[in-house]
Amino acid sequence: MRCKKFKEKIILNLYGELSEEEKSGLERHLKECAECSRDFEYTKKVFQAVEYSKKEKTPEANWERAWKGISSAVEEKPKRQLNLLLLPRWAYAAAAMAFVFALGIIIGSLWFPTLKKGPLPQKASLISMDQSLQEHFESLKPVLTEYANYSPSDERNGIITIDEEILEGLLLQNYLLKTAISSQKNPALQELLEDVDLILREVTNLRNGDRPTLSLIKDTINQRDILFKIEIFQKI
Amino acid sequence: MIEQIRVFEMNEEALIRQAQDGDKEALKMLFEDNKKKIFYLAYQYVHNADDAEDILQETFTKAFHGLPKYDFQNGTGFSPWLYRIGINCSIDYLRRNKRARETRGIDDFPNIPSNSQNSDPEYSSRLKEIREKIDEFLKKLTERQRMIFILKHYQELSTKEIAEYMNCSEGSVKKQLFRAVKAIKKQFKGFFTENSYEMQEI
Repeated sequence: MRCKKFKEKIILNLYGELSEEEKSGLERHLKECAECSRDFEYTKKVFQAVEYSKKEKTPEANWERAWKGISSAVEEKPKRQLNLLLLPRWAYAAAAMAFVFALGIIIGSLWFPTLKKGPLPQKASLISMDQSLQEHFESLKPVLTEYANYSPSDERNGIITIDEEILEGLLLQNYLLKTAISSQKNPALQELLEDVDLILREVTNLRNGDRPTLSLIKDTINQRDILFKIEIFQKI
Repeated sequence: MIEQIRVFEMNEEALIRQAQDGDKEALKMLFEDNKKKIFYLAYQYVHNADDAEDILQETFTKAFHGLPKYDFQNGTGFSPWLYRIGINCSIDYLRRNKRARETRGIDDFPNIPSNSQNSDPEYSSRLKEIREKIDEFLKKLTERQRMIFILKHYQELSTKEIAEYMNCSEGSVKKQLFRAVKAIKKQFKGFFTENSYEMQEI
């Protein structure tokens, strides 16, 4: 246990990050402990090898080509497109579940055609969809408001803490609703859920202190009137 | 000297303000002043010039899009701000392209050009051997561990600076470094006895 601490100190010493007192404590230990002394010599050699590798020449970029790329990208507005490759694994699982669920409904309706008769099941499904939407919007509002009110000069230093599980739940619920809504031919609602999906994914991938993305999220919420649209849909 | 720094800071502030107003010349100057730093960081991280150039473009594009929101008052200078974006872009890039990189077996460096004038074939082969060991080791690290190792050993930042750039505690940086050093020591096991040459300046 004692040696483990000294092995860490060996590394910090080679980084030049030990105080004089810690350094002399380590030197004393190295004189007494053959194993740590060997470890010190070996770690030093490994670090020298890393130093040695720096002799490799770093190539130059094609600066002109890079600048052209940047300059044309800057002229365009920042694009935020759905990149399926960036979706977390659980999203694929959720999509698969939704697909199996939908398939079950189709097969079920073919297998038991009598269930299609009468307006009750369809109405019930619309009611539950509406309830789910209302509940989803209620859960979304505080999260989106938090980001919409973010100010670069506030004390939180670019850090907004939202529970990861809540975020994943919102993203999943949004995805399922978006899939379900697509058959209802409601483009405005569809568009709103698409926007929310984009925002939630940005929030999920956001790192603490990433102010530009935080500002982008804020702008997206405000410029696309997401909270206002949610209010409207809640009142309909 | 302090006066010179102040003049530089004032010039940089003026330049950023011009860039915030959409002045293309100012944007170009900010690019010129910082391009090498970002490119070298990305290159050391992904070890491929084309990928590093992609990261360079992504970093500056993201930074310039976010420039109107850049806040002079929060104490982060432009360069560290950009550097932080570069770090995030590099980590994201590697994460995004991990599968493709694994498939095409990147990080293979058949001919490593050297910084020194030495044309000794033995020297080149040693350098190649070491580089291969380090690349094998880097592949085994997580994206964050890899970045922390690069920032420490190749960018020569202190653990405190790394913690600031990576938005984590100094203790966490040290923990990651200890793990990475343990892994690299394992990678080089037996290497120095088989290759008994010294790492002298050649």
